[in-house]
Amino acid sequence: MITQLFTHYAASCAGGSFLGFPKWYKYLDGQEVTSTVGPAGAKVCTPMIGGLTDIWLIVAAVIEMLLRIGALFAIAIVVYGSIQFITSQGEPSKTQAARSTIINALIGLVITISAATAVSFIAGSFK
Amino acid sequence: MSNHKKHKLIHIIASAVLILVGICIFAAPHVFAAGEPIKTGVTEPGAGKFTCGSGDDAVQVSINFGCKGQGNAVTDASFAIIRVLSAGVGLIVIASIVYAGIQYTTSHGDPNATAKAINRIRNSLFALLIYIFSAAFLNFVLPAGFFK
Repeated sequence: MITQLFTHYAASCAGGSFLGFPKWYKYLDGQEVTSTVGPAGAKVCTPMIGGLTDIWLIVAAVIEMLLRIGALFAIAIVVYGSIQFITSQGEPSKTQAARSTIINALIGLVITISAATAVSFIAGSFK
Repeated sequence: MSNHKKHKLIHIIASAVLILVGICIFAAPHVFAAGEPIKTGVTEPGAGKFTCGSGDDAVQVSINFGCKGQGNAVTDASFAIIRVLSAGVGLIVIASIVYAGIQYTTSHGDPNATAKAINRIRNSLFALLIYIFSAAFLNFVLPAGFFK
């Protein structure tokens, strides 16, 4: 069953990805091979690792995933903080907690995003 | 439900979601396809023969360390590995800072958690500093520029 799941969503080397997440082999060279299982004629990407330096290309893709996860967390926690704010009923200690939750989420987002520019720069210099 | 239990539940749910997302992202379809071997990258004929060292000292290796084919095989391979590692220092530092950002985001206004995140950022910047100084020292000690 799990084999069918993955071959059904057989990924090509370029193009769409799950929830905007990049694939771990995004920066690797890949060959498109016709799949032997799953729907007929489906193309499957076979990433190729040429040397030891290619590890860092995988790391760069993983960092991009971390950036997405960080942004999703920030959105979720800002929403959570707003709910805290709504349910605080004007109690100063609760509003203070809600405010610090939201501010921390935004500071974390800024830290995460400011590292992003550097990632694309470094990964681009590898290619 | 107590606060501690709530936090534990949130952690369990978050890790379950992350594992699911991870399976969807990390699974290259061919890895799971029945009867298909996992490709390790040595595909072209002639690949798998990389030379480290020169002359009588030359050694054929199957992993492309990025050897230059000069001098002793062991020194050649070790400097190739140093080059590979120094290429990744920046990436690892960025990954660490991004992780610290996520830690900061999920701190919920808890001063201990933010202190941990700041500590992580400080330590990764120290690591970068240590790398820069050790690379400069190695470049100074060794006559040939091995980082080029």
